[in-house]
Amino acid sequence: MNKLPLVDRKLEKLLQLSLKTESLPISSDNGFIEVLQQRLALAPQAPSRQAKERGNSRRPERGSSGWQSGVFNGVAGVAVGLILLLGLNTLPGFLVRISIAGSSLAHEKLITLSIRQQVAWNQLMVSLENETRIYLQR
Amino acid sequence: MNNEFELISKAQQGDRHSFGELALLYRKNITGLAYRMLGDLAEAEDVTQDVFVKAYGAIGSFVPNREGSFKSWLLTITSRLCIDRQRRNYRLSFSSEIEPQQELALAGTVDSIAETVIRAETRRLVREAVLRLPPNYRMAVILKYLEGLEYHEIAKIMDVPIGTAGTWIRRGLLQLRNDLQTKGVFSDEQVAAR
Repeated sequence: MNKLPLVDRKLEKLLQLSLKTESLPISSDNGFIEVLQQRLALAPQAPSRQAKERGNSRRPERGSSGWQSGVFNGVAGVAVGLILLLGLNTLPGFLVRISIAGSSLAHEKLITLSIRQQVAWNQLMVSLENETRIYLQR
Repeated sequence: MNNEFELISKAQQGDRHSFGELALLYRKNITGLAYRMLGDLAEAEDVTQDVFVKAYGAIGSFVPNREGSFKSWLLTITSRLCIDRQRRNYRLSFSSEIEPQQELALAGTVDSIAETVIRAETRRLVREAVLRLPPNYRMAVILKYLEGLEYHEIAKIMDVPIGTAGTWIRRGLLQLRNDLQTKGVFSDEQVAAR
């Protein structure tokens, strides 16, 4: 610090002298305070430290409620997760079983339909033969 | 100092009279800083009012050990308000009607009239050069040479790292030196001696 160049030392000294404000012709204290008090009367004051501390002392109640809510949410989350996990594990087997059941049902329906068609066809043929025979006899 | 703590404590309970006494204790510091920062006494007095109104609104959260001294806390508010105001309303002019009275007061009585005039002119040039600094440099330089604060105190007030405060002061001084050199405040021999 003692090795400051000459100009810098002179500048620092000049600054110290030039920036002095002791003799500033500021307004009177009475006028200043009067205006300030008027403005303070309109200005809201933030809660004091003590008030904040009092506020903090009531927090455990709200914290307790929050704790219960947190546990409830946690349990609900775990339950939903388990259901999803189980569901995902059983989903492939379920889909396979559904497919097999569906295809067997379709197979049965087709067989039933073909039997009915065969019966109907046979009935039709029998009916045709009978009617042909009746016609020839005439 | 005990009295100050007592006043702060009462002000924190909402006692406006105690806060008024606190305001009177630091009023001149705040107005001086704002005046050097803004270059206009009326505006500086306006900022001083704003500083104390803001301080009153927030005094409930003031914690001496955490925030430093009450004066530092007020200087922090002043610094922010002045820089904000400066950015909104950039001006360089000094209120010229104030300066001659101030210069006579500063010059003392032992100097000759010629020396007094030269010194007054030099100081005017220095103050004008300070007003030409960017707001952050200016505030750092003013806090250093008007309030005589250390770098760490300036850094805390301006809410920047110490290195940044130091850089702002160094760059501010460099800019001032170059500015004043062009105005002939420093002689060529002095500059050459560096």
